[in-house]
Amino acid sequence: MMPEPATEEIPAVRLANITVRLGNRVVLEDVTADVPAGVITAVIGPNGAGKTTLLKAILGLVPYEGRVTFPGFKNRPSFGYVPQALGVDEGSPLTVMDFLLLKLQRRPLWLGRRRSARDEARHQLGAMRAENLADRPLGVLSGGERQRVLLAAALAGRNGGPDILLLDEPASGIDAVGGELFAALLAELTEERGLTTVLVSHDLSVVSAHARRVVCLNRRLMGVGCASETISAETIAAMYGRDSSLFLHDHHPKEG
Amino acid sequence: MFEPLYQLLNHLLPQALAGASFLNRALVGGLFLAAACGIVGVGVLGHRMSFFTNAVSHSSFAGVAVGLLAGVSPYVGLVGFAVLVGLGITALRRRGRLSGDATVGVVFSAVMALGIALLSAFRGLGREMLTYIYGDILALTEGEVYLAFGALIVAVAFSAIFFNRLALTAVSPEVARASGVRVAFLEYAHAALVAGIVAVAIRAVGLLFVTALLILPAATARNVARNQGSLFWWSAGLGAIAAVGGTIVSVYLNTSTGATVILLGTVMFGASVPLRLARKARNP
Repeated sequence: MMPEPATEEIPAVRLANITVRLGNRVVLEDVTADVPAGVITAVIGPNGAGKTTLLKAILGLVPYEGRVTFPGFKNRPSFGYVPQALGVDEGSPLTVMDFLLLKLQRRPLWLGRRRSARDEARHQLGAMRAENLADRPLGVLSGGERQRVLLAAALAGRNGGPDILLLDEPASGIDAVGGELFAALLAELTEERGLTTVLVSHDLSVVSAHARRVVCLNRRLMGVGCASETISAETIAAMYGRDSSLFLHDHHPKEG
Repeated sequence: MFEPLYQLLNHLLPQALAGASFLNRALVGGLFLAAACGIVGVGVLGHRMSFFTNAVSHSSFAGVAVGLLAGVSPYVGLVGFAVLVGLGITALRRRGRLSGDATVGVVFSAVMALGIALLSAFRGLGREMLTYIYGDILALTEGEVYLAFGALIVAVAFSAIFFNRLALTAVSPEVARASGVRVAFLEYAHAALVAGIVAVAIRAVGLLFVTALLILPAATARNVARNQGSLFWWSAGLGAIAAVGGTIVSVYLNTSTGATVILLGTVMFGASVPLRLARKARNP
């Protein structure tokens, strides 16, 4: 395991000896890592490596042993979350606007929409170039549209936006070019809004292009550090098996 | 208290039956219960809890038996047992050892077997049970109309507080948790509410039909509502129309009231399907 590089800054999230069990199965074992503030941290690893579980532990959604602390914040930080899957089907009348308002207003939607909440929702959708989707049912959106809406919803909040943004495989279901655009947008937002972003991803080239810190998991911590150093042939082999090799490909469409 | 409503609905009855107090109670009690079920049905569909409501309603065999054997009213046994079963299923499901529907299936079988075992051991219980299998909306007492009104108030109050959080949790529990929703508390509270409403409604339509009284109005409402807010009103309204309309039709046709209410609900669902298809064509 690579040693944790010394960081001068106070981390946004500190994970100390996190172990998660589901029944008798150990999903995560003794994971210790710091998530630096104000940059993108990517969590990578094979299927079943415990990546989503790690996000859930940060949120407090699964019981765990060890400690999750937020040294960079005086109070508990606020979170935005972009999930991998949604429990909404094509037949649901829940619109994109409804979805954002569920977060933004306490008044039940059957008693009407608050103007201020609606304005905030429009603002966030506009920032993601998704304003035109406001009245469409959430269940019928394409992969790319849905990711923009989920990101807009994650950035919306009653008391301003989130401090920490957690994304679970946000680029799954969209093509490579869409994935690259999404990652670039995420990098821009993280910098503009001073967010601490934690991103679970399969796409190592997107990770190496935009993530400042990489956490490699395969139930246990396989490595943590800056992207270029951590995504090495050695770590990849440890995570995905000896037959794997590192092949960074270019997502940018050819010009001309 | 409900006299003005009795008067109003009396106009819908045939001349020969106008003023029959048992029909007035059936219409008003049915209206309250069906509206409550319609409101709760929105959350039941959103959280995919149809099978859950089936398990809870079938736990009434055991609930009624336990209530009678313990010397308290069968109704208290029924409601109490249903809420316990609802909370138990939620606790097992949250532990995640089994998939959601497998958990419900196991509990369903267990409570059903317990109920039948108790009924066979104490044969006198069988007759009492018939009331709960088929229900009897025409036999509602004044007290039960008040109970139905109470159920509606509880359903509306719960929805006033938790509607948004419940819908967000159905879309993604992680997003809800990240937004500060106490997901575990909400799931238990919702399970207790659904179980309680199901148990109260069993008296009117019976355990065989009660799931339909929750599912049909909400499923029809999904086909006609344009957004999440109007889903609530459509579901409550369609439930109420099915209950009042079905009761009146059953009087004219001399059919079982509970079954006629559910049949009318099914016809309304069938009529709503083309609307859904038309909307799908607009939003491919």
